[in-house]
Amino acid sequence: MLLRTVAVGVLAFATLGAPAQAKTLRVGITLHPYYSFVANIVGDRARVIPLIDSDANPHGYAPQPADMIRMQAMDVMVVNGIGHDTWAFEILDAAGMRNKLKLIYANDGVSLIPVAGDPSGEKVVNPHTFISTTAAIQQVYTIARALGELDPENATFFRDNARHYALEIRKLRGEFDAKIAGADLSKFRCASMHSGYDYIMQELGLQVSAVIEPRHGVEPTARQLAETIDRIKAANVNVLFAEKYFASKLSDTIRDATGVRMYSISHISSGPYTKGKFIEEMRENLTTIATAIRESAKS
Amino acid sequence: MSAMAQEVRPAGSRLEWLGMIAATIAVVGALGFYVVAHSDEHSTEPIYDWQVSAFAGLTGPDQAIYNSLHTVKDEIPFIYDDINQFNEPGQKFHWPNLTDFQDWLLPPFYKDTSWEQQGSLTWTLFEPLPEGEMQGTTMYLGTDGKLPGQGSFLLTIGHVHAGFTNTNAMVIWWISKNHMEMPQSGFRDGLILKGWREVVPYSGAAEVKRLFGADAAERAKAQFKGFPPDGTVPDASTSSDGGSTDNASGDSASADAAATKAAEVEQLIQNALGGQDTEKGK
Repeated sequence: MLLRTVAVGVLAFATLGAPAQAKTLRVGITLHPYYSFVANIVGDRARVIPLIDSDANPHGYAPQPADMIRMQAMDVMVVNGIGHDTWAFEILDAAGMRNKLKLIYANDGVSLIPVAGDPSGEKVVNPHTFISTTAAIQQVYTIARALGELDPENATFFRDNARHYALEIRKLRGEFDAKIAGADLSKFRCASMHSGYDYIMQELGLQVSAVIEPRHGVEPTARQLAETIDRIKAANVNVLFAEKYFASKLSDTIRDATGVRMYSISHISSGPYTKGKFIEEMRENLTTIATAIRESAKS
Repeated sequence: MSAMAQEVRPAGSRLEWLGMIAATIAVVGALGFYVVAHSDEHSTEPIYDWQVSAFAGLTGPDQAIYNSLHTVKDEIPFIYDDINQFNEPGQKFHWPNLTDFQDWLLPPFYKDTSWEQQGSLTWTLFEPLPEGEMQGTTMYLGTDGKLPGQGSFLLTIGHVHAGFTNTNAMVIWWISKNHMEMPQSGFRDGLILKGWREVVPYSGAAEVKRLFGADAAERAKAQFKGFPPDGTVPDASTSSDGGSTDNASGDSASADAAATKAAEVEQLIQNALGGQDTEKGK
């Protein structure tokens, strides 16, 4: 409601203030990985504009008036669209830009997987497709194709950049492989604080035995936590992956109750937007996973 | 003599009605059971008996292998172009083989730890004959996985030509059997009769439909039509609703105000960036 109230004012402001960069495509993005994807695809032939501030938490984000102003400066916006940036659609509505601003659904071509380790057995779509390598590459291709349709003169340039970037992403897997060479993976049993790492774990052939959060962004009740701790013990889980950017005392509780080793993985959703962020943080994540594998092999 | 209509009811009419009702209940019940049995809440398209859902029907390593193959569908046309671009005139175009895939680090073919963790499937390429029944059907068979209960995969590529980008020509098949021989035919009906099932992804596009309505993706795509209007990207000074934000009157005060506002918008963008990447695309 507050957003709608301020919308009229900021829209007038934004319309006046649209930056005058003639004939350069302005591509909006909702999440940090999409900034890296788009920046690597478009090079210097388009501008990438984040919808929300770099230090904002995309989990349960409350839209701000400045978001609407930035949205007005976009020609097109790349969205996750499957549950990780629902606030972007609130901003679209508040700004009166639903069905006006062009959207690229990055996950259009991704084969989705359910959240792992759900004790109910219910198959809930996991929206964290961007913490991955293969699913990330699929999104890079989807975005490059869509941008090529918008800007046909640069379509080949975008496609070639996408291919090059895809190979860079894939090389991360090679680096990871070198780091775990000779390690015994049979002792590795992991749980995660939330479902953000299912795609990368599946791609690496690793199984997540339990997820602490019952739903994305929802802390477990005392009873759910007790049940999860029982499952962790029963499954001989020895590694717990927690979120690097969003610390929780819950992970300490679980570590103390089960004796698991704890490691932090980046959700790639905080800090400055940069072209290299996705590769850098995925490399860091894969290094962390490799360390966890090697250390669990020693135990 | 007046005509008199007399209703004659067969002795078994009551039984006929009961039979009709019972039959109707049976048909409706069977249909209901079929729908329940063949759909899930995460499917916007029906899954037929000869198909299997990657989301709900495959698990563990087989789901991972499928998802890699699904992305390979986008990559194979690129690799095909790369390896054939320097062909001599008259030289036969060829499909990427397993060695090519190693060079491209392409899962699920690339032999790394993930490949081992996912069962170490043995992959074989069947290239189509130049002429005859098999023309145009390329097949990659992945079989003999080492994990318990693991199935086999088949990627078929229909008749396509150089420069193709139509990934619909590629179909991924799965069968619950651990060992399979390369099929004699890549034709769909033959594969189905042999027990192969087409794997259907639950894609982001389907989830968008579920979340935002059936026409959400189409609406988004429709917006692309006519953009850019004349083959050029619109001037940034044109607002999204088509209205010009240029100060055509040339009034210098208004121009100054617009410049000030533009600077403020730019500042908001810089704020969002976190003080980084001030240049385009960086």
